[in-house]
Amino acid sequence: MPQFEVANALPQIVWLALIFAILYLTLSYGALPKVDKMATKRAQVIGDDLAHAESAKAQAEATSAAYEASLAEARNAAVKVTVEAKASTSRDTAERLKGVDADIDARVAEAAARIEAARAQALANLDAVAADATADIVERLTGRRPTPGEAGAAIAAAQA
Amino acid sequence: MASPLEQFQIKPLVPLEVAGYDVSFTNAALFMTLALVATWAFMFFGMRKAELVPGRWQSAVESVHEFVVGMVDENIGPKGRAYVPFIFSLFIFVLIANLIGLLPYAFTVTSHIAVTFAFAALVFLICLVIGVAKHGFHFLSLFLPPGTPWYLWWIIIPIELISFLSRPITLSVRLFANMTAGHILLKVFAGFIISLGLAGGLLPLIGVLPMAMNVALYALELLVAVVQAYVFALLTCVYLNDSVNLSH
Repeated sequence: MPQFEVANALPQIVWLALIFAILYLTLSYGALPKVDKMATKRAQVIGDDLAHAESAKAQAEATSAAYEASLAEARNAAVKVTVEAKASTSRDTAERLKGVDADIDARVAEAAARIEAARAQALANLDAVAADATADIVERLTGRRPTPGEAGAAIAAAQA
Repeated sequence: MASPLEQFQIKPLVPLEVAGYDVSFTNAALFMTLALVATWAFMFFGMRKAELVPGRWQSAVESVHEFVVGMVDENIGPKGRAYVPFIFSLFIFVLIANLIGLLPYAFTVTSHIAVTFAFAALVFLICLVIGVAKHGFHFLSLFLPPGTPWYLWWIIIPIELISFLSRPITLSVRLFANMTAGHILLKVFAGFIISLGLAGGLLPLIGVLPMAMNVALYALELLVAVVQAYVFALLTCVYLNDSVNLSH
């Protein structure tokens, strides 16, 4: 077998060493760094893109959360305004009712006072009229007219 | 008819002698040069216009690179990255030499023990140098796996020592024997085809059988060519791992 002929070994080994050294040096300093650089660059681009997507997603989520929050806030504000309006309206109504009530009470009281005064006056006038009428009756019957004091006293006695 | 061994003949193409030693440029050297040129072409056309989204050829180059990087990462770990160019060169040279050898009339560089042993010896020496440089005297603990009971030392140490020293032999003989055996088989069956074809009568019809056999063998040899290159690179990684990490 040619493989086991010692004379064949040296020329092969010498050329192998030379050619493999050239191959190793050209690959390790020429071609492979290029491949490596490309792979690194690709990994970096992919990583960057993923990071971008991630941050965009986070941003979208934050925006959505902010929107939700503002929506809730607006709703709360609306409810508050409604409640307030309702409360203030009812408060207003109550106040005005109270005012009107007081007014009415005052006027009723005033009217009652007036009526009382008129009654008292009427009563007082009634005594005078009665005395007058008594004096007239007595004058017709007796021909003598009693003084108003006498007539008044008689009426007071009759009333008692 | 030519002997099946004729294909392994070393023929000087340019006789050369340096200091009394024969260093002729032979057919073996020619096919080593072809492997070198083929590797260059593969790498050059693949990375000529390196793009972020690789084309077909660039993908091929990057796949091989990724394959080697994966093998190194798996077997040596992050400290192994420095040896990627060496493993890559070894893998692609053996692979392309094996594949070129399968072309008709081609010479198979890796079918010679001188070549495979030179590679194996290189790997062995590199492992030795790296191991001693990284771990010094402690590198000897390679021969005594941790946890070995003291009463087994007397047998474990010689076993580990022999297995370490036989590495270059097994590494080189595996590749050389695979390539040589495969090519002899191909040649033997090819010889049958010729013999049967030249014989009279119905014998040429029987020649179909070794023909079919050779087609199947050729497919097998393609597989062997790739697998042996892979095994060579893988074992180099495994051996380098012992030197770099000194796991046991």
